[in-house]
Amino acid sequence: MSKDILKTGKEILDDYFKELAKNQDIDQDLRLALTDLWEQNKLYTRTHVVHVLDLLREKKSK
Amino acid sequence: MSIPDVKLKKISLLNFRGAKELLDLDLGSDCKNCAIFGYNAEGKSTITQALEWFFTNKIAFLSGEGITDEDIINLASSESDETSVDIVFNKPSLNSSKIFDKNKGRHTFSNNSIEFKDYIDNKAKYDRLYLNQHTILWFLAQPKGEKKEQIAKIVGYEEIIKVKSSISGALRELEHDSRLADLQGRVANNSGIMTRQIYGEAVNDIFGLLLKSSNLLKVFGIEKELKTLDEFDIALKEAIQRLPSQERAKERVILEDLKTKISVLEKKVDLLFAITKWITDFNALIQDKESVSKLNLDGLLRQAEIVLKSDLSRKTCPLCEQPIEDPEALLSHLIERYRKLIDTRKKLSALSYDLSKLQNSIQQNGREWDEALRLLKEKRITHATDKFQAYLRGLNESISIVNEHFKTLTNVSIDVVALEVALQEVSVAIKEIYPNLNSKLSGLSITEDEKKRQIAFSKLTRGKELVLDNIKYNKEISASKLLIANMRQIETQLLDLQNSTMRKILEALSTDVNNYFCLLNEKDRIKNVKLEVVGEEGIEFSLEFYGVEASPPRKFLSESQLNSLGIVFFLAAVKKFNKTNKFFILDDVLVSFDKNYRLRLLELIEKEFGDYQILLLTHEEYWYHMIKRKFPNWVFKEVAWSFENGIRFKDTKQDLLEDIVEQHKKGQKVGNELRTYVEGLLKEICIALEVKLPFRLGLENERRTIGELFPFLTNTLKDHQCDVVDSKQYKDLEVSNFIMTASSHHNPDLDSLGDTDETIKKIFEFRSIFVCKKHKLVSRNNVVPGKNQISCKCGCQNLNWKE
Repeated sequence: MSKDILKTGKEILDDYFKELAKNQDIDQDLRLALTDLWEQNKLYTRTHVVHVLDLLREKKSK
Repeated sequence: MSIPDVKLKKISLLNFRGAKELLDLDLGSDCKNCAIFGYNAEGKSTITQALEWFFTNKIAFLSGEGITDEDIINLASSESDETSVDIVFNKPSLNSSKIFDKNKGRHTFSNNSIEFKDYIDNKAKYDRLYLNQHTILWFLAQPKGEKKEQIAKIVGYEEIIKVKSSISGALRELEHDSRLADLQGRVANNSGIMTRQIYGEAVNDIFGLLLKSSNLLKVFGIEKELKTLDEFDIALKEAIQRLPSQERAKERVILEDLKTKISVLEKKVDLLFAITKWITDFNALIQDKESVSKLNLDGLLRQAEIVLKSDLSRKTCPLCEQPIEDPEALLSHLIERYRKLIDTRKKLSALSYDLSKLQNSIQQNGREWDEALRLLKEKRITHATDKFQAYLRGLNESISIVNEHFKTLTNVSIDVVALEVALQEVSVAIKEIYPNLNSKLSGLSITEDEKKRQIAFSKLTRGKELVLDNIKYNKEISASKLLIANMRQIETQLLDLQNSTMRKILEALSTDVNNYFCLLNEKDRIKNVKLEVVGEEGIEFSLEFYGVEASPPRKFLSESQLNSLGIVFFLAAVKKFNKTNKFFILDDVLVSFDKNYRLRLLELIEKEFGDYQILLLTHEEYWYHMIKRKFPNWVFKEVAWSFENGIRFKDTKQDLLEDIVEQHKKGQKVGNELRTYVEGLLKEICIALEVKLPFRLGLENERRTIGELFPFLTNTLKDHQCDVVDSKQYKDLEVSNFIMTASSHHNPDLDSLGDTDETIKKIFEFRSIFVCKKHKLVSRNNVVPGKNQISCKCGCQNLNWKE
């Protein structure tokens, strides 16, 4: 592997969401939901994120 | 991450753009580098476009209004001809044709393997494969924001921007959600009520609610420290039992209501006066008996008036047919009588309306008194029933008499005195009710203690409702705030990621850009070329120009320096970011490059991209020949285009001199080509041997002729005791007619000298002194250790040389 070559945006984001999934500082439901969206390729527009946030708010308000 | 290793063996174009017939660019099984020469508009860029279309399904400059996918098809091709680009790679599993289906207007790949799909859709997606002049100029002229976007695209960095942007967008939506503001408003409002009306402070949890409620319950004699909401509910039920009696409260409401009703009725007892006033008006009207008795004649009088008005000459009365002497006097009389009747009718009508109202009021009054008297009796409140009955009976009888008289239009006569007595008596009777009623009410009022309980109970129930609502609202607010805080954290992390990635990209690029740029511009006082973040959203080149910070570079750099900046940026990006492909194309990228620049670019390519496969396309013959001399092992192609045949590769020799020989054999005039060749050869020898020439500015330096170069070369060779200067091979060319003529004339006619074969032979022999069999020049850079000699790069050709 050439050390000269940098990671692509996708590779960088893959690493980020792997780290996020383990980040205890972030609410577990939220990090799992966002990681799921990333894996499903649904993080490029905010529609899915807004929907997930609505569901989480509802769940946490009960 | 993978190491880029994909190279090209062969590219074949069919009916693609300028290529009508099959155009094969065979780069050999060892994937050789290649230089392609062609004058402008001869079709060399079609090769670049074919690769661009193969990899991206588009051709960047072929976009905009009036351009369709079908514009990749050769104009001269027939309907049935297939348009395709076929690439053979060094990895056979990736070989594929890309065919454009004219009928369906879409393309297909012949290779359907998963490996190829992954290569074309993912792995090769961000590789930089081609650079042309248009792209260089476009990129350099772009504003800093656009530059950032373009750099972002190199590594798919825009994916980070997109993800960060969708996270930020969702976060902003959450922050500005009207429901959150609404809930916060409700909580504040509820807290205000709790503070002002219930607890003296806001209570927002169950513990506080139970504590405050425990205190309030003490008013009921309930001394209990509440621990749960269930306990609270049980205590509330207990408190209800200790509230003032509900029956007494109801009774009090009824009596208060009765008191109000009686006070209203008291104000209406003068209805009697309304009757007497009506009777007076009525009796006055019917005094005029004639008007009242002849009320029905109004129609007749009106008709007579109309008849008379239409014929004032008539001699008889229209009513009685009696002779008349003065019709106009009769008409005036008729009108007078008619108006009087109408006036009486209007007054009667008004009296009728008033009587109807009066009648309704008396009936309503009667019903209300009946209800009040019933309640007084029911609640056993002492009152003079007979006085009220006499009064009400008097009213009813009076209105009945009035009605009878109104029907017959006769004078009304009632016992007004008796009625006035009844009125006085009932007024006294009403006044007597109040003390009795008030006495009854006072017996029903609640104590201070009971009042306190009532207030406490109200606070307990209302307080519970508000606290529970606030707990519910606060839970939702907290959930939103938690999500907002976490999303902000994620947004910050992504922003950091975005910035650190961009920083890494810029650092990585800047190092190479600076190195490459300095290699190309070694004598210019330009240093520290780098890409820098400008403001929040932009990127720009910066550099030190004669010790001064310069940005943007186009303010300071020459056209060729700017051009070289664009080239080195591309090369740095290829080196750092190409993931899969180990080849790239430089398509006519040179602008205003002088010879030294060109040579340095070739040296840069050789030094830094020796393991890459490179395709150089140019329209400059001189540059093409320089490449030929520098890299004789490359594949060399020359293109020519005609409408009938499309693009074709011409037969060319690896060696330019061999090429000229071929032309000469065909009977073509080659004098000028030989002069250009010798001039180029001498310049390269002079560079390699560091021959010192008088200083000249810019292009003047480029325009040195054979006559100028030869003497300085000879002097340098002598200075370094290089014996070849006296050799036959050297002298033969130096003193040849060809050199003499080429040196002494501005536009020499070298073809008229004859004996071209002899001249060519002399040039070959002269060249063999300085250029080895592998076409490498002897250079002062290659000193033979321990000997006063210099050699070519491969060491197979030496010259005696004393420093």
